[in-house]
Amino acid sequence: MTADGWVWVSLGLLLALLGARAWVVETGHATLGRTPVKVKVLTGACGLAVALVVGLVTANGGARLVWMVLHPVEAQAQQEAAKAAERAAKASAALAPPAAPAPTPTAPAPPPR
Amino acid sequence: MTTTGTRHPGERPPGGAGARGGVPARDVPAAGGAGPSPAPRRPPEVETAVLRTPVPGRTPSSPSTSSGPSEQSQSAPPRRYAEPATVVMPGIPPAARPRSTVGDVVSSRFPEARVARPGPPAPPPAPPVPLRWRWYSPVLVLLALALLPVAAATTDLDALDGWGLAKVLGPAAWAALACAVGACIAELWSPRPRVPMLATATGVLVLCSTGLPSVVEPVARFTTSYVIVGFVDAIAGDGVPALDVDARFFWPAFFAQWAWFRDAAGAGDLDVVLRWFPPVVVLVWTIGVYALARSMLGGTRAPWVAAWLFVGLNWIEQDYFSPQAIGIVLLLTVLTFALGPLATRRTDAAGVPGWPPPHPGAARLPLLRRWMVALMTPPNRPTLPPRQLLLIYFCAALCLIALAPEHQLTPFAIIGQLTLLTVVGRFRGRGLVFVAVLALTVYFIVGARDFWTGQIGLLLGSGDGGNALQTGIADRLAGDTGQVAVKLLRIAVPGLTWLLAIAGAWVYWRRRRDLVPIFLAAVPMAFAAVQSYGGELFLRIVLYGLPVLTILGADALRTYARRKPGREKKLAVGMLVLFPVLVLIRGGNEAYMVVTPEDITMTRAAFAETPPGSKIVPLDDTGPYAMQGIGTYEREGDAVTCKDNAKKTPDDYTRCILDDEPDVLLVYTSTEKQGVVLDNLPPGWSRQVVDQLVATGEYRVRYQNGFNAVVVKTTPTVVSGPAAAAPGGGN
Repeated sequence: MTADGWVWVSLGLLLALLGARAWVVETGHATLGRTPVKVKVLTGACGLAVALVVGLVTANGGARLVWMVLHPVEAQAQQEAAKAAERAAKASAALAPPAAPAPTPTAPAPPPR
Repeated sequence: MTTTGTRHPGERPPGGAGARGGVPARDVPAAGGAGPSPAPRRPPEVETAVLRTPVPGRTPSSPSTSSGPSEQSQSAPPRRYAEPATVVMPGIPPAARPRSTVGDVVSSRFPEARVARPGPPAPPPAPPVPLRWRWYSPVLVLLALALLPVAAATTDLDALDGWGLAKVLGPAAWAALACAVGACIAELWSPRPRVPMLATATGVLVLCSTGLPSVVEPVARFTTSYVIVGFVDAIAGDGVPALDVDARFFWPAFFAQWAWFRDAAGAGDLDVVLRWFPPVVVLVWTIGVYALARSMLGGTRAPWVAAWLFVGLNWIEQDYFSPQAIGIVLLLTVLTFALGPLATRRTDAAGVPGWPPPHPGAARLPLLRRWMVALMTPPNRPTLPPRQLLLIYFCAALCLIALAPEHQLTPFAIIGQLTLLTVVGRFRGRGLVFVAVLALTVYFIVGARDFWTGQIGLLLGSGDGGNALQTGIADRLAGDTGQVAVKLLRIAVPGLTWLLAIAGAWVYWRRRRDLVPIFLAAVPMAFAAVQSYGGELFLRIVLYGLPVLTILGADALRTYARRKPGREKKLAVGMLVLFPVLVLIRGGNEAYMVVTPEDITMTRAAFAETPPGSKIVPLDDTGPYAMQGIGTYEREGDAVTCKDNAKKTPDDYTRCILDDEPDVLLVYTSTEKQGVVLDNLPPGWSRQVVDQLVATGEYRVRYQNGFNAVVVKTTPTVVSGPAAAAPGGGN
């Protein structure tokens, strides 16, 4: 599975945990000033899942996005340079002479005696 | 129970109890009997007493006959929930009970209450509605529908000019609109308005106003809707969005959805969907506004007025076949949940909104402390069974998650509005905000990674608010007299809408001490910080706030009408004026937004006769030029060197096209009219461009009829085989 796939799986896990917590909270008995143990456990599990999602998202582009937002000038310069390099590569590919024709197949080597 | 229908932390979960519960929750022993007794609270405002049938030997007023907790615990096992609201009238036999009482409804759900608890006496029968009131609205609705085909037949679309659709509509169209408005007013004015009739009249009103172009024009209008259908066509081919063609493909949910619908239906094109999409989607929006207004205003008539006001003030043409149209459906769904079944208030244990001092005479806590306490206090539970609450959470979460890949701006609007409601404690389900933020963040960072890694400038924006104002408002005030007049009206209408809404906010404040609705409408204005979105940003700001603005406006109008008898007649006249103005404003660009069947046929033929890889461009960005071929044909949307500021004269157009060297040039009648009414070019300028191109010898005319033309290069760049079946799908 790709890194992006793990992000989506962790997000699905978190949503499932949030759903389970909502189920427990809404179907349980409300008690003033006291949180049921099941809710506390699920809240902790949600917290862990959030940490997992945040960690995976940070590793899969989040950190880079934050850097780009904090350093917009450098980020735009990098993107412009990348685009220019891509255009140059396309132009050079267009100007390059056509590839040499494939060599004609030679006669098969005689079988070893 | 509070006036907003909420439960307090100490109360039992609902399931037949609550505001409609006959026994107050505090009278029912807690499950297990271990729960702390709830804090003393204000007596419920709407609760009914349960009086038992007199027992021989006991007087009804005897204390032992009361259904207090002690007796209940002795005579019956403790029940989980309180019992439903029932008032027993001793001495009335069950057979004598009238049918239409609350007691009957309750007893049908709770069989044990059926025999012993007859309902309250029926109210005196209402006076019969005069027969004429029953027929006014249906007759007017039928008349309006009957006039629509006549309107379509008598509208001369060839005569469109800068004044747009309003100038070419025949008398039948205006009569149909007047009948639709009359049907709404007649039903609302009747002594007992019928909801089905009001709904029908509203549907006809939408068809005769917003849907009028769909009725009188043979095919869908608006170039952008054909661009979107081109995206659908591109994604239907191989299921892969063409990310290198347009940034909108990074939010592909809408395109994928309709590509799936098209393939599943076996349809070759979406022409019919495109044509009827605007009235249908506006009708769906109107249902959302009505539901919101029922929650916010109450009453039987005001929500309908709010819905009609929304239709009448919605000149922002974002209801074409587009992701934002569906995005607003999802937004309204979530907002309706939040302000309807999930609505609650943050109150103290006594049910008092706000946070009172710790004891009488104590000094008030500092404001910051009060805010913090209010923020940390969870809102009360709405009076809904848990499973209904969970179902609503699920549906709302689904809508919020679906919004992330649907549209760029809409998720921010609903997140802003939900955050506001969360901070002020107005809805239960704060986790929904978390789900929305999470879905949006993960989708944007992971799903749209190529967008922000390649176009960070678009994301960050220029921060030039003045430029955005210039682009969004000032630059649009161009064209002939009709165009300028229509655009001035477009600026005036949102201003008047806001004024009316501010008056409504004042009324709302006087009545409920609540300013949240007007802030709900103002939240989307934070988008003004996102300057990179372009001039349409201001349209979206108005649109996202319009549902709440119109509801507040309806509140203001209701107060105005109640102050003095007879004012409702003035409002009816106002409605009769508002809708023709709406037709004028919405149809103001019709001269260059109209699309004819010939345009579509010509475009399809041009793509079919041109080999893939060729460059097909329109003379200007009008017409259905983008309805297919995305990713298969090269297209810049316009001749790339022809920037708008360079196009001053026909010669400039010719020069730009010769510089750009497209293989095929598409010229539409709408292009010609746009140049005349918007850019003040001389009539016939597009023909002049075509003639100049042909005169150079580099181009020849493949097809020409009136101003419509397909001009092709004499020496095509791409000479591979025919492209009849090349584009994915059949658009």
